[in-house]
Amino acid sequence: MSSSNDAPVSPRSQLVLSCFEELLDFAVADVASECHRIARLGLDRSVDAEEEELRLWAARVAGDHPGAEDGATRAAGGGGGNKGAPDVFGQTHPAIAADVVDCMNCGRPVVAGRFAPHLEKCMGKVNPPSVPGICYRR
Amino acid sequence: ACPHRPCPRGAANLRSRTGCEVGFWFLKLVESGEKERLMELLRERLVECGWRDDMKALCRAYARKKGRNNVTLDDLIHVITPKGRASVPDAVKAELLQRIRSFLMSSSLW
Repeated sequence: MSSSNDAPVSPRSQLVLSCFEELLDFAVADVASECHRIARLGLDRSVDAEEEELRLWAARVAGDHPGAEDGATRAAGGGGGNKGAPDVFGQTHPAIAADVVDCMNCGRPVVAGRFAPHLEKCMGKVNPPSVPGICYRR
Repeated sequence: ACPHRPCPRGAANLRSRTGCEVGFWFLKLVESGEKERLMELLRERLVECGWRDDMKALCRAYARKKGRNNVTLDDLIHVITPKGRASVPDAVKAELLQRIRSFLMSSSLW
């Protein structure tokens, strides 16, 4: 990259080069300082942990579904498309989410797996078919 | 060459170099604010060409090898300085040298 073995340079050129090397030393110290902080605070551990989990997940999926590399099953990114298969955190979820949540619109408890259809109807009550185009609550 | 090289911490060693010619002109860069502008340009170019990523990878590899709690800032500087100096692209170096030369030539003391 950088060629340092040049012909003898003039004193002024050498001076300019020395100034550049000073600036480069500052840049090197910046990078080293940042990496030192990351290393001592363990901030790179989260990156390592995520990489390890990804490797484990990929190995697990490859072992559970050999040859199942089609996009249809992987389109949902391991969650909705692979019902019952473990996700990137190693957790297995039921096909239909059984958690009960409260609808923020009507306040009624709704099963999470049925929340989207409920919300569609719930929000639809505000916009009756006889008044199309009105999207605000009265 | 400046007798004070290598310089692990430029700012700290700058005070010791005020007596020599490099220190004098480098102080001119600092006082005029040109040093900050040059540093900004240098950082930008080094990021663009991947130099910074390479240096961070070296630091990370060294920290893993030595242990995160055992690595010191001086260790990292000494590890990456030789490779860092040698791996700066010629185009980046040429651009910075030209900028420095232009500034120094514009100085009435040059």
